[in-house]
Amino acid sequence: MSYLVLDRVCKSYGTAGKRTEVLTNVSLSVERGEFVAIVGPSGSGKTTLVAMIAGLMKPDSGTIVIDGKKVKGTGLDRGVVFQNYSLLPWFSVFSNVLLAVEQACPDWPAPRRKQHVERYLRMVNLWPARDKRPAELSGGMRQRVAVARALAMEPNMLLMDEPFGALDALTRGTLQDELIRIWDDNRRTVLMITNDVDEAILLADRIVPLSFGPQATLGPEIIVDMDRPRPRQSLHRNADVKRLRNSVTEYLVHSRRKPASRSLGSSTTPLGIGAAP
Amino acid sequence: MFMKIDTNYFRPVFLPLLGIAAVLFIWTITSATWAKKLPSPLQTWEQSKDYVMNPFAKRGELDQGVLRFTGYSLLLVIKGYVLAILIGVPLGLLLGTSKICTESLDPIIQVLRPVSPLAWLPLGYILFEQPQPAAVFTIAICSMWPTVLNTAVGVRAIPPDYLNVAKVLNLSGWKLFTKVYLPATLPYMFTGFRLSLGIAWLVIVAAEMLTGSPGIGGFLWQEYNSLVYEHIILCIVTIGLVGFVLDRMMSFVEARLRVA
Ligand SMILES: Nc1ncnc2c1ncn2[C@@H]1O[C@H](COP(=O)(O)OP(=O)(O)OP(=O)(O)O)[C@@H](O)[C@H]1O
Ligand SMILES: [Mg+2]
Repeated sequence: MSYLVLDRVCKSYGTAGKRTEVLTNVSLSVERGEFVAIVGPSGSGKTTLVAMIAGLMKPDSGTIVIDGKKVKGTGLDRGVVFQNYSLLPWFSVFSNVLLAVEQACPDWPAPRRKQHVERYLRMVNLWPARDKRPAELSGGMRQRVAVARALAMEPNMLLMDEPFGALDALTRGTLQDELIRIWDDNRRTVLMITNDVDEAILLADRIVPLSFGPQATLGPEIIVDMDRPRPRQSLHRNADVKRLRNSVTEYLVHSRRKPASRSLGSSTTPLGIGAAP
Repeated sequence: MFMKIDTNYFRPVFLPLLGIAAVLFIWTITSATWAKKLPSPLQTWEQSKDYVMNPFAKRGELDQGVLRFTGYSLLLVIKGYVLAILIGVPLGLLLGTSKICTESLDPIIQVLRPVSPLAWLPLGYILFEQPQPAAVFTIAICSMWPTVLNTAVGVRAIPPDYLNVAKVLNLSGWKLFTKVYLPATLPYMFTGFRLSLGIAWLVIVAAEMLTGSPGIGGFLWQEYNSLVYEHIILCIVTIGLVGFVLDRMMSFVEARLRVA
């Protein structure tokens, strides 16, 4: 059985009168150890989807099952990287990560936890900034702390909501490599949200596009059938990559041309897909 | 260059001095014309010198230096204030976290909040039969409301992001409280603490006057009865200055917390 199964998940926001259904009939299966990327335009409901899988929100209808158990709430089996970083501003970088490690590994002695935090902070190149408060960091640095926090929990499944969105190309590249290395080491399940098709092609086993909202739903999956490691330099010359990129963007562009009744206001939504460099 | 130095000093030093001078002038005129019983500034200083120059002197129960009296008052205020915080913070947390509690307790709080200390004091006497506990009770019950309300507001204002992190990390119980709720609400609580301290200090005078406890308020009342009007003004100025200093101190801590 798949590790994560979403079955016809629907979610609406707002109260009775002006209720908008954001996600409609979202179904998805993710195998254990698989790396799946969800690509979708801004405002389509990607964060909403992550929140439901994380257990922060209940779907209005449909079910979410992880490892055979229906999701009832949050759990330490899922490590979440929030889109807006969500670091606790009153703690230092180190303490933010340490808190997560304390929760995830309550039996460990303190020195071991600290070593563990150090390892992950070094990995994201933030060891020198360990005593800084989040407010003293740049957006990209905060994002790296958030990534380190989720990774350090070594969860069964990583849920990442646009984890590298605020990073420059160079840092983004390093972290993508690091993420793939970690993932390759222990093959945890990863569900990553991104609006960068190339990032999805570089990292994922499978790309699932999410259509324009409201009433967004997942489109046909696109299998990234390329050997790993995938050298980023040769990617943009690869014919497969062009084909994959085209099929993702094509689906998304088409999903936008919905009957007028369904696309209230969406005609003004900018195409949130990261353009190919 | 000259202008710059001039304005630099002019604003923070000379303007307040100007204000003080204006008040002293109006005061002098008033005491010389229609309010003959009001002591003039000079008379007030002559009569108060002793109390100010030897602020900790103790010449007798009813005749002590002004800071010594202030100390007695502060001690009483602190007792009531600490009690107010010990009750106010948990109550505020309760109101902030539970809608049911808010809806059931809010009307009572809104009704009790504006009740004057003069009204609470007799009740304190009935309950505790002693002047000191009655005063502490009055200070506590009058000053706790800003702490209660600000704490509740602070809890409600915790950004959902932080609560989401707490949930995702499975924080609960004491850890959830100390790692998320407390640090997130502390700046609001401190605003409450500052306002509460202001009220506690306001109440002390009334409480001491009515209970006759030794302190700056008791001294004021006693000197009124012994017709030494200069000392009333001395007390008023002292009470104002102490209140001002307390407020500054709390503001300082509050500002620190907001930055963090
Ligand atoms: N708490 C909320 N209350 C009401 N509407 C909401 C709420 N959260 C999100 N929405 C709406 O749901 C839709 C999807 O939001 P969501 O944050 O999931 O989008 P997203 O795909 O993550 O976008 P982005 O790529 O910009 O992060 C948006 O139209 C948004 O306006
Ligand atoms: Mg989002």
